[in-house]
Amino acid sequence: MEVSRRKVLQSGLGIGAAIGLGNALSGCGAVTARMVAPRREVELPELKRSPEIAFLDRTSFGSTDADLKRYREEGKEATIKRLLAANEEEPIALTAMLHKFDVLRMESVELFDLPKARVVDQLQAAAIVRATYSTNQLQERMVDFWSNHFNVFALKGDGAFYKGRQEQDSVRKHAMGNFRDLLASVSESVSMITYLDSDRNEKGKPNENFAREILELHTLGVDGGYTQKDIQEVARCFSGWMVETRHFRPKGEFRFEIEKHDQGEKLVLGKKIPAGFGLEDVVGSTDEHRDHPGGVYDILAAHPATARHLARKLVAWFAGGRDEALEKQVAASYLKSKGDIRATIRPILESDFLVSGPPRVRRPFEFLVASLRRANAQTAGDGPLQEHLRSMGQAMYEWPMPDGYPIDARSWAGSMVPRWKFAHALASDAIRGTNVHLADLTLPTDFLASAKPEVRLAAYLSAPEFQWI
Amino acid sequence: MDLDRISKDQVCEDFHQAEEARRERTASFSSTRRGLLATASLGLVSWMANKSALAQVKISEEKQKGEKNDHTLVVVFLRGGADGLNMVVPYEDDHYHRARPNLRMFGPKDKGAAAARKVLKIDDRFGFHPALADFHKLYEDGRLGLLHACGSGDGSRSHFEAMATMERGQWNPAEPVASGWLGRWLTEDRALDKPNPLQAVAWGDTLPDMLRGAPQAISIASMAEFKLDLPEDLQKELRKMYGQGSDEMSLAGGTTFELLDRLESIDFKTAQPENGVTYPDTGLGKGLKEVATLIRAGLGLEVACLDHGVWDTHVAQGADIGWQPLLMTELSQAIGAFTKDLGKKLDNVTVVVMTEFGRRLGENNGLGTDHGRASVFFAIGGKVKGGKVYGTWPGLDPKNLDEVGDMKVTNDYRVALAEILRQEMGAKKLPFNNPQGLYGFYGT
Repeated sequence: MEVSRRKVLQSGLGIGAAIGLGNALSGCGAVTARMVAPRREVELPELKRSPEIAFLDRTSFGSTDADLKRYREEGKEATIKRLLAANEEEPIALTAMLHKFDVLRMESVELFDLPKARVVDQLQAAAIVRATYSTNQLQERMVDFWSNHFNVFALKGDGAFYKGRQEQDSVRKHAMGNFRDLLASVSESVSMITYLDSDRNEKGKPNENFAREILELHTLGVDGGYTQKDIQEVARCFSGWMVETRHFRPKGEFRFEIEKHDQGEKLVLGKKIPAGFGLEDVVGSTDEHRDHPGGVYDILAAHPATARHLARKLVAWFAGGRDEALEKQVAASYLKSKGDIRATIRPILESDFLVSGPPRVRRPFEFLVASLRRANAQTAGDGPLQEHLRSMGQAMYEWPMPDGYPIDARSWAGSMVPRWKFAHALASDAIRGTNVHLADLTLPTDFLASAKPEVRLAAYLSAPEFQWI
Repeated sequence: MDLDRISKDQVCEDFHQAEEARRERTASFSSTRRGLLATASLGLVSWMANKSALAQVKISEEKQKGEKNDHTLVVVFLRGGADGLNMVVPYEDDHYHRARPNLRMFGPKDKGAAAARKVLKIDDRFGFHPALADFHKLYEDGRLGLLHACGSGDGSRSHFEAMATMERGQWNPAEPVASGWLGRWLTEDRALDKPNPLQAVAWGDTLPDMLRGAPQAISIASMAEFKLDLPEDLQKELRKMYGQGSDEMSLAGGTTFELLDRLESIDFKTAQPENGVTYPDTGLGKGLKEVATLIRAGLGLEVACLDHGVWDTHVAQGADIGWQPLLMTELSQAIGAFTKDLGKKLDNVTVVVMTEFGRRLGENNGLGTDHGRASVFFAIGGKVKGGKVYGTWPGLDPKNLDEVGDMKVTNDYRVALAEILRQEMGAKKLPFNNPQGLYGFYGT
């Protein structure tokens, strides 16, 4: 059973075609940003949200007037279908822009030649431009969700060099796919392995860090009914995992050492995993003669507690609060579809609760991207923009704990000044590498009608209403 | 964690990379953040641990009534693992002298030793390094108590793990806790009916983990530079917009303006310390000067967090000359100035000085020491029953060292912190999971 580590970048649509364009424009970020968000007349809606805009704000990184127009043309049902399909062609200029990021193109072993600061910079920039300009907005929202659900801290050790591959090949690739595949892919990513010490877990010398989190955070949830014994058994299943550090080998690749793997029989959540397995402990056996084909991934992904845990988080993520009936529906859909993520979230998109659920605060990343989208800003996600994101408190992939950035308002309410400062800098066109054109924007007529245009836009984006979705 | 697989280089690399990243961030910030900088932060509560917040937009009704507290806890964290054995030196212990032929300090009456290598006597076992002269003075005045062989149960010897463990108030890193000990305490025990934006302040670029989860906590690089430099007309509109709603963000915005207004009454640039004190011109000195200014202004500062370091002295730690004596001088002078400046107000203040771990007993080949386990913990304040070495001393006999050759942790830092929270801050609910015992920093 092979756990493939080296996957060529594939998830960006039309990459091949874009390479030529990317090369033609190389070193010219401003041109690409201008191409991906061409100037046009933009009308900003009232701050008090209509149900239509609430629907769009909750299924995207912030609605634009173009989104609203299209929604009105297509209707809700077709919009949901399109969002779930997530197969719209991405803007070619976005693809070209992404092509310039080494972190999305290169293997970790090659990235190690770059300064860490540049790698971190590219990770941030790539996240910003994707979220801002991707046509498949729901998918990007799911990427943000899973990236936090399976949080890693990119500043731990060499984490920055690993995170880009994981975000690309695991999180984005499976964000709208199947949960079991996502779970497997993330667990096997060097990014996660090094973050939660899977590489320090050997037969006879266990490290339970990853085993605890996969149960508590990634699958069953803290109240999911597992025991300390289950944690120990899961840790045994993951023993012998390594990251390549030997000379003349590809540094930072996944490596499995069967001698360091505990090959004894295990009992995980009441399910027996027979002795003699290697990686089959987690991925399952393909040998039909063995008495148990499913491994840890299958056991955890198929567990009803996992369905409940994911349902609760997803409903809160999209709709801002709890709704037990909806959560039950989502959990049932998850189990029925055997972990199909599209089928799982469909009931949320179709529910009234999506729009009527309690307000949920925009985290700094969501606030920044929503502002860029609302004002049709042109950006390549460069350093000066990232500084604003950092000072608001949510530099990407820099939450140190495995639970991901919080979504409750109180966690973010202490940091208003940086939000206002960003809104003002954006409205004044004072962020290097990021541009807005005030002349193109029409604000609601009665909104601070007598104020200067940049004050109007800054106040619009700073308003309490705009901090919520 | 499996120790023999973690090389010294590897753990240090983690730390230095994190430090490097922090510095890079700081450097890249300065252009936009200078002059306004209410950066970060926020009570960062794990949302999983805080389910009720999801359904709650209005917060006023869930706030508890808090009594007015005019006591202040100042936490100075020595980052990088400070060598307690050369700060409070067990000068009578032969094992100490044998293990540190180059780095050792000598007894106060040692005839063969140069004056600069002689400790300032505490008792027949211990003496302060002479670079901690102000600590010695505070000790003699009965306002500094210390706990030796103090630490947590985390044996990873990784800065990352050890700091995370201690800042979350855990005994070992496996305990599933996301918030910091101060954050938890402020949330569970000190929630105010009227939010006070100055309840908890960290001097620095980011909120330290110990404050994670606090209902309101801010990190500020410098009070003197905390200003909202937005155009007047925009500020006016923002004040209007944020004065209306009752959602958390509206309230937080209102609180921010209140903070800015409160701070406006103090001119940090011209504020003068009292009692003829001059603070050393160091980060810690400047920070503590602002802490004292805030305490004097009576704006309700309950928790102040400051970092000092880096104390990761693998090389050139030195005995009387080197990195560590320099750091000790900075620390001692800044705290000396702070205590003098506060005068009688020190009666309502406790300063805690702590570090994530101590260092190896045996010196290495680079006039330095590698990561160890136990270190020293100081409590300084007007009500502290100082002039005493608290806790149990395990000694340095090889049979009492741990398997790596480090002094064992015989004193639990959480017990000391719990006591300080109770006695100085009037804590009723403690943020620690059952630490047992009492050292008696404030008497028994």
